[in-house]
Amino acid sequence: METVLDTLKPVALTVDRQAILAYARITGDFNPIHVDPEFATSTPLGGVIAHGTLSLNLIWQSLAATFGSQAMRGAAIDVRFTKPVREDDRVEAGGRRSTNEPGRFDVWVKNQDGIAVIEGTATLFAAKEGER
Amino acid sequence: MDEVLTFDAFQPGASMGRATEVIDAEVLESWRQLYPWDAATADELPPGLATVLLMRAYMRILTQRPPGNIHARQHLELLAAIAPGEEVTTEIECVGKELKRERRYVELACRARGKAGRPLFDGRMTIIWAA
Repeated sequence: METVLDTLKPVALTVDRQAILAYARITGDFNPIHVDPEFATSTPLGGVIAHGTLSLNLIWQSLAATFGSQAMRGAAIDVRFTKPVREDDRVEAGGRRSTNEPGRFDVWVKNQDGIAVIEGTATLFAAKEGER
Repeated sequence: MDEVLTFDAFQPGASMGRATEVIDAEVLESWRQLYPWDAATADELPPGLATVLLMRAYMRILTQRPPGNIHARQHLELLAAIAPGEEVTTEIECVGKELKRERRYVELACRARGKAGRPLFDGRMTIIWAA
Protein backbone atom coordinates (compact mmCIF):
# COMPACT_ATOMS: atom_id res chain seq x y z
CA MET A 1 0.00 0.00 0.00
CA GLU A 2 1.36 3.42 -0.90
CA THR A 3 1.80 5.77 2.07
CA VAL A 4 2.24 9.54 2.23
CA LEU A 5 6.01 9.15 2.43
CA ASP A 6 6.13 7.02 -0.70
CA THR A 7 5.49 10.13 -2.78
CA LEU A 8 7.52 13.31 -2.54
CA LYS A 9 5.77 16.61 -2.00
CA PRO A 10 5.82 18.52 -5.30
CA VAL A 11 7.70 21.82 -5.53
CA ALA A 12 7.21 24.07 -8.57
CA LEU A 13 8.76 27.17 -10.07
CA THR A 14 8.23 29.33 -13.15
CA VAL A 15 11.61 29.74 -14.79
CA ASP A 16 11.29 33.19 -16.27
CA ARG A 17 14.06 35.51 -17.42
CA GLN A 18 14.27 37.11 -14.01
CA ALA A 19 14.77 33.71 -12.34
CA ILE A 20 17.51 32.72 -14.83
CA LEU A 21 19.41 35.97 -14.30
CA ALA A 22 19.00 35.73 -10.52
CA TYR A 23 20.40 32.21 -10.58
CA ALA A 24 23.31 33.33 -12.77
CA ARG A 25 24.19 35.86 -10.10
CA ILE A 26 23.82 33.28 -7.29
CA THR A 27 26.14 30.77 -8.96
CA GLY A 28 28.38 33.15 -10.92
CA ASP A 29 27.48 31.14 -14.03
CA PHE A 30 26.97 33.61 -16.86
CA ASN A 31 27.42 31.02 -19.63
CA PRO A 32 25.92 32.79 -22.69
CA ILE A 33 23.76 29.73 -23.38
CA HIS A 34 21.79 30.92 -20.30
CA VAL A 35 21.99 34.69 -20.49
CA ASP A 36 22.68 35.77 -24.09
CA PRO A 37 19.70 35.15 -26.41
CA GLU A 38 21.69 36.04 -29.53
CA PHE A 39 24.47 33.56 -28.75
CA ALA A 40 22.03 30.88 -27.59
CA THR A 41 20.02 31.16 -30.80
CA SER A 42 23.19 30.47 -32.80
CA THR A 43 23.77 27.11 -31.04
CA PRO A 44 22.13 23.75 -31.84
CA LEU A 45 19.82 24.35 -28.85
CA GLY A 46 18.28 27.25 -30.75
CA GLY A 47 17.73 29.57 -27.81
CA VAL A 48 18.27 30.28 -24.15
CA ILE A 49 18.15 27.37 -21.73
CA ALA A 50 18.03 27.67 -17.96
CA HIS A 51 20.83 26.38 -15.74
CA GLY A 52 20.18 22.70 -15.05
CA THR A 53 20.83 23.09 -11.35
CA LEU A 54 18.22 25.85 -11.06
CA SER A 55 15.63 23.10 -11.51
CA LEU A 56 17.67 20.42 -9.72
CA ASN A 57 17.38 22.46 -6.53
CA LEU A 58 13.64 21.79 -6.59
CA ILE A 59 14.36 18.08 -6.02
CA TRP A 60 16.33 18.86 -2.86
CA GLN A 61 13.47 21.09 -1.78
CA SER A 62 10.93 18.38 -2.51
CA LEU A 63 12.94 15.88 -0.43
CA ALA A 64 13.31 18.36 2.43
CA ALA A 65 9.62 19.28 2.32
CA THR A 66 8.72 15.59 2.59
CA PHE A 67 11.23 14.31 5.14
CA GLY A 68 12.58 17.45 6.86
CA SER A 69 16.01 19.02 6.61
CA GLN A 70 17.52 16.57 9.14
CA ALA A 71 16.97 13.76 6.65
CA MET A 72 19.19 15.49 4.11
CA ARG A 73 22.39 14.46 5.94
CA GLY A 74 23.81 11.53 4.07
CA ALA A 75 21.34 12.05 1.24
CA ALA A 76 22.53 11.59 -2.32
CA ILE A 77 21.15 12.56 -5.71
CA ASP A 78 22.17 11.18 -9.07
CA VAL A 79 20.41 12.80 -12.02
CA ARG A 80 20.63 13.42 -15.74
CA PHE A 81 19.53 16.67 -17.34
CA THR A 82 17.47 15.08 -20.08
CA LYS A 83 15.79 18.06 -21.76
CA PRO A 84 16.45 21.78 -21.75
CA VAL A 85 14.33 24.09 -19.60
CA ARG A 86 13.28 27.09 -21.66
CA GLU A 87 12.50 30.59 -20.53
CA ASP A 88 8.99 30.80 -19.01
CA ASP A 89 8.70 27.04 -18.54
CA ARG A 90 6.84 25.95 -15.42
CA VAL A 91 8.74 23.07 -13.82
CA GLU A 92 7.73 20.82 -10.96
CA ALA A 93 9.86 18.38 -8.96
CA GLY A 94 8.54 15.17 -7.53
CA GLY A 95 9.37 11.58 -6.86
CA ARG A 96 8.21 8.17 -5.83
CA ARG A 97 9.77 5.52 -3.64
CA SER A 98 11.61 2.93 -5.70
CA THR A 99 10.86 -0.72 -5.22
CA ASN A 100 14.43 -1.62 -6.16
CA GLU A 101 16.40 -0.51 -3.12
CA PRO A 102 15.58 0.62 0.45
CA GLY A 103 15.69 4.40 0.90
CA ARG A 104 15.81 5.03 -2.83
CA PHE A 105 13.41 7.29 -4.73
CA ASP A 106 12.95 7.81 -8.41
CA VAL A 107 12.99 11.57 -8.78
CA TRP A 108 12.25 13.95 -11.61
CA VAL A 109 11.51 17.47 -12.69
CA LYS A 110 8.84 17.82 -15.35
CA ASN A 111 7.82 20.83 -17.39
CA GLN A 112 4.33 22.16 -18.03
CA ASP A 113 3.85 19.55 -20.77
CA GLY A 114 4.64 16.68 -18.43
CA ILE A 115 8.01 16.08 -20.12
CA ALA A 116 10.84 15.11 -17.78
CA VAL A 117 13.70 17.62 -17.93
CA ILE A 118 15.61 15.93 -15.08
CA GLU A 119 15.46 12.25 -14.17
CA GLY A 120 17.34 10.14 -11.67
CA THR A 121 17.41 8.80 -8.16
CA ALA A 122 17.75 10.07 -4.62
CA THR A 123 18.85 8.00 -1.65
CA LEU A 124 18.00 8.93 1.92
CA PHE A 125 19.37 7.04 4.88
CA ALA A 126 16.57 8.38 7.06
CA ALA A 127 13.96 6.94 4.70
CA LYS A 128 15.89 3.66 4.60
CA GLU A 129 15.82 3.33 8.39
CA GLY A 130 12.10 4.06 8.39
CA GLU A 131 11.47 1.08 6.16
CA ARG A 132 12.97 -1.42 8.57
CA MET B 1 43.31 36.81 -22.86
CA ASP B 2 44.31 33.33 -21.69
CA GLU B 3 43.80 30.34 -23.92
CA VAL B 4 40.42 28.61 -23.82
CA LEU B 5 40.44 25.30 -21.97
CA THR B 6 39.66 22.70 -24.61
CA PHE B 7 38.59 19.08 -24.37
CA ASP B 8 42.04 17.96 -25.51
CA ALA B 9 43.69 19.64 -22.53
CA PHE B 10 41.81 17.61 -19.89
CA GLN B 11 43.88 14.90 -18.26
CA PRO B 12 41.96 12.27 -16.30
CA GLY B 13 43.51 11.91 -12.87
CA ALA B 14 44.70 15.50 -12.74
CA SER B 15 43.53 17.95 -10.10
CA MET B 16 42.02 21.06 -11.66
CA GLY B 17 42.48 23.08 -8.47
CA ARG B 18 40.57 24.19 -5.42
CA ALA B 19 38.54 27.22 -4.41
CA THR B 20 37.14 28.52 -1.15
CA GLU B 21 33.67 30.04 -1.10
CA VAL B 22 31.30 31.41 1.51
CA ILE B 23 27.58 31.81 1.05
CA ASP B 24 27.20 35.39 2.20
CA ALA B 25 24.10 37.34 3.18
CA GLU B 26 23.64 38.74 -0.33
CA VAL B 27 23.59 35.28 -1.94
CA LEU B 28 21.26 34.00 0.78
CA GLU B 29 18.86 36.87 0.16
CA SER B 30 18.91 36.20 -3.60
CA TRP B 31 18.21 32.53 -2.86
CA ARG B 32 15.31 33.46 -0.59
CA GLN B 33 13.81 35.65 -3.30
CA LEU B 34 14.13 32.90 -5.92
CA TYR B 35 12.94 30.06 -3.65
CA PRO B 36 10.90 31.79 -0.91
CA TRP B 37 9.88 28.43 0.60
CA ASP B 38 13.50 27.29 1.12
CA ALA B 39 14.95 29.44 3.87
CA ALA B 40 18.18 28.88 5.78
CA THR B 41 17.99 28.33 9.53
CA ALA B 42 20.40 29.79 12.06
CA ASP B 43 22.40 26.56 11.96
CA GLU B 44 22.30 25.31 8.41
CA LEU B 45 21.90 26.25 4.78
CA PRO B 46 19.27 24.65 2.54
CA PRO B 47 20.74 21.55 0.87
CA GLY B 48 20.48 23.07 -2.62
CA LEU B 49 23.16 25.57 -1.69
CA ALA B 50 25.69 22.74 -1.77
CA THR B 51 25.07 22.68 -5.51
CA VAL B 52 25.59 26.43 -5.62
CA LEU B 53 28.90 26.10 -3.78
CA LEU B 54 29.95 23.42 -6.24
CA MET B 55 29.03 25.56 -9.24
CA ARG B 56 30.77 28.63 -7.81
CA ALA B 57 33.93 26.59 -7.25
CA TYR B 58 33.67 25.20 -10.78
CA MET B 59 33.40 28.75 -12.16
CA ARG B 60 36.44 29.92 -10.23
CA ILE B 61 38.64 26.91 -10.90
CA LEU B 62 37.89 26.32 -14.58
CA THR B 63 38.00 29.93 -15.61
CA GLN B 64 38.79 29.58 -19.32
CA ARG B 65 35.68 27.66 -20.27
CA PRO B 66 34.47 27.88 -23.86
CA PRO B 67 30.99 29.41 -24.23
CA GLY B 68 28.13 26.95 -24.62
CA ASN B 69 29.08 24.11 -22.25
CA ILE B 70 26.10 22.01 -21.13
CA HIS B 71 25.63 20.30 -17.77
CA ALA B 72 24.60 16.73 -18.57
CA ARG B 73 24.69 14.79 -15.31
CA GLN B 74 25.12 15.45 -11.59
CA HIS B 75 25.77 13.24 -8.62
CA LEU B 76 25.94 14.84 -5.18
CA GLU B 77 26.15 13.30 -1.73
CA LEU B 78 25.59 15.52 1.28
CA LEU B 79 27.86 14.48 4.14
CA ALA B 80 26.98 17.21 6.65
CA ALA B 81 24.88 20.33 6.90
CA ILE B 82 26.70 23.51 5.90
CA ALA B 83 26.58 26.35 8.40
CA PRO B 84 25.74 29.89 7.28
CA GLY B 85 29.00 31.79 6.82
CA GLU B 86 31.13 28.62 6.79
CA GLU B 87 34.15 28.67 4.51
CA VAL B 88 33.85 25.78 2.09
CA THR B 89 36.87 24.61 0.10
CA THR B 90 36.07 22.52 -2.96
CA GLU B 91 38.66 20.60 -4.93
CA ILE B 92 37.86 19.51 -8.48
CA GLU B 93 39.59 16.69 -10.29
CA CYS B 94 39.18 15.49 -13.86
CA VAL B 95 38.25 11.83 -13.64
CA GLY B 96 37.36 11.08 -17.23
CA LYS B 97 36.65 12.31 -20.73
CA GLU B 98 34.97 10.66 -23.65
CA LEU B 99 34.05 11.53 -27.22
CA LYS B 100 30.63 10.05 -27.93
CA ARG B 101 28.35 10.77 -30.91
CA GLU B 102 30.45 13.84 -31.73
CA ARG B 103 29.96 15.20 -28.24
CA ARG B 104 32.83 15.84 -25.84
CA TYR B 105 32.00 14.60 -22.34
CA VAL B 106 34.18 15.69 -19.42
CA GLU B 107 33.70 14.10 -16.00
CA LEU B 108 34.75 16.02 -12.91
CA ALA B 109 34.82 14.82 -9.29
CA CYS B 110 34.58 17.27 -6.43
CA ARG B 111 35.19 17.13 -2.70
CA ALA B 112 34.08 19.93 -0.40
CA ARG B 113 35.44 20.43 3.07
CA GLY B 114 34.38 22.95 5.67
CA LYS B 115 35.60 24.19 9.03
CA ALA B 116 38.60 22.19 10.32
CA GLY B 117 38.44 20.08 7.18
CA ARG B 118 35.12 18.44 7.98
CA PRO B 119 33.62 16.67 4.94
CA LEU B 120 30.55 18.50 3.58
CA PHE B 121 29.77 16.97 0.21
CA ASP B 122 31.21 14.86 -2.57
CA GLY B 123 30.05 15.06 -6.14
CA ARG B 124 30.59 14.15 -9.73
CA MET B 125 29.46 16.19 -12.69
CA THR B 126 29.45 15.48 -16.40
CA ILE B 127 29.75 18.42 -18.75
CA ILE B 128 29.34 18.40 -22.53
CA TRP B 129 32.36 20.51 -23.41
CA ALA B 130 31.82 23.00 -26.20
CA ALA B 131 35.31 23.09 -27.73
